[in-house]
Amino acid sequence: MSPVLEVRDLVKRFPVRGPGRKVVHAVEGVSFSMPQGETLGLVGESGCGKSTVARSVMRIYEPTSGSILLDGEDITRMGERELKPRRKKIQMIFQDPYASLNARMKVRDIVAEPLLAHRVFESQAGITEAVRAMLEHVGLGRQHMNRYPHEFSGGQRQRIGIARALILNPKVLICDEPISALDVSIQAQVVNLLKSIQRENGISYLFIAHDLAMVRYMSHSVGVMYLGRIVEKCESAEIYWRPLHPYTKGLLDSIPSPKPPRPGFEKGASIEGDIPSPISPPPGCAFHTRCRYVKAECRETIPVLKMVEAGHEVACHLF
Amino acid sequence: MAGLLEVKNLTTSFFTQNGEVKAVRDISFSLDQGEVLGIVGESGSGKSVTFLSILGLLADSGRVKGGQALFNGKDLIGAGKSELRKIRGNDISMIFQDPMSSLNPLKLIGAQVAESLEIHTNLGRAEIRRKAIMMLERVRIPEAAKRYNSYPHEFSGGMRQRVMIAMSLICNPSLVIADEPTTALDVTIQDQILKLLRELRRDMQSAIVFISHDLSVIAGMCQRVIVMYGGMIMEEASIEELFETPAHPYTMGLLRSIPVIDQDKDSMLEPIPGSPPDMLAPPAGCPFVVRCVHARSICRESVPPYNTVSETHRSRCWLWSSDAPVSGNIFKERGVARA
Repeated sequence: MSPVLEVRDLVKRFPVRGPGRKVVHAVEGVSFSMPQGETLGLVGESGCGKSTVARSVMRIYEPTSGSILLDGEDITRMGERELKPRRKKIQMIFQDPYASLNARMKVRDIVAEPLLAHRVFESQAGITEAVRAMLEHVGLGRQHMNRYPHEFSGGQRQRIGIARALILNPKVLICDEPISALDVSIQAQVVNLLKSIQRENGISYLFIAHDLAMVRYMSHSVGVMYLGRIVEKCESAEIYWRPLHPYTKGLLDSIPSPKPPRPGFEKGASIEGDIPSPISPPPGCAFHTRCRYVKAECRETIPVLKMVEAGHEVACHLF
Repeated sequence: MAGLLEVKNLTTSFFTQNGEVKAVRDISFSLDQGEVLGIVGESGSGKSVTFLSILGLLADSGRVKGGQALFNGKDLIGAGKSELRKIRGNDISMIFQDPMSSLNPLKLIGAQVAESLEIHTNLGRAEIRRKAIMMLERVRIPEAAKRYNSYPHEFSGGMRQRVMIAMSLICNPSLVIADEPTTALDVTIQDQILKLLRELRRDMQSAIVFISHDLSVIAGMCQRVIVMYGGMIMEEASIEELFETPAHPYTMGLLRSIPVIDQDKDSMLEPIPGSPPDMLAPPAGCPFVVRCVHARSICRESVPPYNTVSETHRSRCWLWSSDAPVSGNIFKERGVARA
């Protein structure tokens, strides 16, 4: 099946204000493709460029170079007039359910806004009915339509955000840290909702998070990002059973175990040091400053992502 | 071991335009010298407010309505401002969640670490500086003597949290309260900070209260855990008991709603339905009642008493009461199965 979303060599750099022509190398050549009805997870620490990928794909940011293909069409350089009808196919939900809903709009109007913007319905009654059906779909009811966002809890607000994104029946939903602002007991509610929606209507998700366990659970395949690049990409089961990149291994080891440790067991830190600045990323492999397997080659040449086994790609000089 | 901190019937409310927010409702617990106690709960459960109450750091709208907090036998709730000032930063110190906003951006790192020594000791300037540099070295700040003269903005998030830890430990306190100390950090940096805290815990004699919403973080740090919900202590247990034989439906729900890294992808997570109670008007009975699948009519009517599960394990749930039905009772059936 042809992919619904394909990203090729995406680069996004931001100029830094002040003296010198410095740039933030937020994304440096990211490629992936998303099959219909599947979830691609992007995982990485702050500053790795995962949100920049999401926003570039949405054309919130203008990509510096590379291309974005939605349903086989190149939308990278499309003007807003051309782009608008295609925006129906790709929608987004955000991390902060408090900041991403307009506090002065009623829930009905928040969820109806995409329908108005795209002139989907002729009548108000049609819009209201569509909103009601969508709210029900995400576990809210008719009684919630005339309330304001402040009357809802974080989990419910995230449901409103999901309803707003789904009302245009998009093919792709970009989920940028959709659960990290929620309490633990609520996170699972939202994740289950996203999963059941996907089972019902075959939507594709780009699921971005820093929680590797959650990304693995949500996704069919996973890309691990570090300083603007995908360093490992494979099926989500593989990432846990057979991580290959030293960074992925360290990331997995860093997750605190949800069990008390055996008495006398002392675990060392998995990855030492800090993430380098994306303004002046280290030469060669960006991870070489923290990698315990570093070789001379790693300091000089940037490793390319290559297939080392069927369906398993790694960017590391060890392979 | 002698009790270091004993909290009795602490009750704290915030008085807002919309009414009284009952943030902490009649909680009691104790802490021994050198012990590491975990406090777990979701936002609004009262875990931070408990310790802000004890230290006299509540916002203006907050008031301790009743109870005691005996620290080495002395009640901190009734203590005056100047008395508390002698204790804070000296005998009891605090590590806050956000190292970005808890450091003064205009003061040198070293001066901020040294501040507690200047206030609480009579040491000379050179000696204070030497001690502050030593403390920065202990929290593994590279080139500590040089970094003494840096400003917070020159440090990464993880380094700033190390500075916060240095500040909290410099007066050798008998109690450190760490309020979500790794929540704002990336997972690899969290891992480094937790390792540092475990090392310091071994070397220093301080008792630590570790507040977190993340049971996994608590698991690797603490000997004993208190689970808070709706301003109350729902369960208290040793770390092994909490993970192996949780004795409250809320704790069990929390444990089930976290995916483990090798979670079966086709299985659905088991979330806790509903949302946390509105503390302006908490339920009359158990605060967890509206989300609990085991709720009975008595749960709606009155707050369950503590049931002693073992010497180190108590749980506030009506399922444990002697007249609760046995059939379909998760706790009683478990007891039968084991016996």
